[in-house]
Amino acid sequence: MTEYFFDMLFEIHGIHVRLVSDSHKIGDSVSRELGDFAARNKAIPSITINVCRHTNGKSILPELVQNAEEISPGIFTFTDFTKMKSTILLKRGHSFDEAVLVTLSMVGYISRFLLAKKKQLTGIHSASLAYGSKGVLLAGNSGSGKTTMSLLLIKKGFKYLSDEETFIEKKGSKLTLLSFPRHIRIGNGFADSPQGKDIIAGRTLTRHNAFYQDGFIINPDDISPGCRIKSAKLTACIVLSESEKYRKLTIKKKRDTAHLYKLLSLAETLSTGTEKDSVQKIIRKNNRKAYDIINFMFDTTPVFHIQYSLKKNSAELSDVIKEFLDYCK
Amino acid sequence: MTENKTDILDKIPVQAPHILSRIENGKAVIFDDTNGEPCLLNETGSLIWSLCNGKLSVRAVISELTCLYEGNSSQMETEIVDFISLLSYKGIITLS
Repeated sequence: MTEYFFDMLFEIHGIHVRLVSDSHKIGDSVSRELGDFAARNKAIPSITINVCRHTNGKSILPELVQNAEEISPGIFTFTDFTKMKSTILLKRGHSFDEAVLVTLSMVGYISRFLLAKKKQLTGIHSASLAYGSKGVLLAGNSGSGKTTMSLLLIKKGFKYLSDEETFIEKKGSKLTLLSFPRHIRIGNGFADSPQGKDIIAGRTLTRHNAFYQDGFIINPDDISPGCRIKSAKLTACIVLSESEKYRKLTIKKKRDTAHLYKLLSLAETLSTGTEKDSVQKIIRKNNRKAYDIINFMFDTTPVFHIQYSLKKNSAELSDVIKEFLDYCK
Repeated sequence: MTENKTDILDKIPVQAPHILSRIENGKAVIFDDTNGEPCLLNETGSLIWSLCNGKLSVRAVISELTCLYEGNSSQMETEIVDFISLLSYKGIITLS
């Protein structure tokens, strides 16, 4: 019988995820990171994520090790969607910070799948924030400044919903942006820039060197305490383009919407080598829903395109967006 | 894409029923409902797509575009045929 040192049940928009660990130290690390939004309750978990050390052979089945995917050097994951069980394996000597990152990432990955499957919610590659009761979706290609803009806006009093992916719920004619409980990731480039240094000065940062980029993760609550909210009515959508070549901040009222459709392909993030046909079906269904929601958003929500240079225009960005939201009804 | 140019000219291109589309700023966003894949067409491609309405032959589509755009008509014809062949190969349109 496995003795769990760590057993936590938390909820994301009605999805319950049970996180268990057979390592005391991993449990402590994960607990620290997830403690802000985790809460024990008596609900039945939709999925169980087991975090364990690679060397603890007793709790790991051989076929699991064989089928696991190495998502970062020394870190393996395997998710069986038919049994709703996921396991994260860590090789001996791996830093616990990295374990926390992998765990959070898997929680995000699995939650996305469950939100699509069980709640029929649609994720779109975007950041989202709110000013007062008005929610704004920040879309754009990778590197367009969604994360940077989010940090700047949080510092100026905006509330935080999500950084990388936003779930949009459609009820009747109302679109609601839903939070996603993940910290913000920034690259070394931004951390070293004057704007980055200004934002992160004196904040608690965790070094992030797993996955695709080096950098840091920041808890938005460290920038503006209490800035996380659960949902906001979608009031406007802003498509971002960042480049040093832009001398002046420009808001194009002519909608540049082609970007948003490209973002549908983000639903591929639900895809892994271990998936079955049933998972593929959900991905396709999710894409179709995203397409329908984006179409509906274009018909009902103001969509604008902002061209800016982080170096030249960052000081005025939040005021411009506030004015813009005041204008939107 | 095995059909040659002369085979295709008298065929009538029709948008496939499983393809959803929407024109945004003159550009067509097409979505394949069978595989969940979105695809964006540029302005010229979008115009060709909108002319694949089941009423015009490929030859007539070429004629429409050569009236609208200036350029080497022979090269335009080749490019339009190639594009329509590609759409057909991908199952986005059917040729009847």
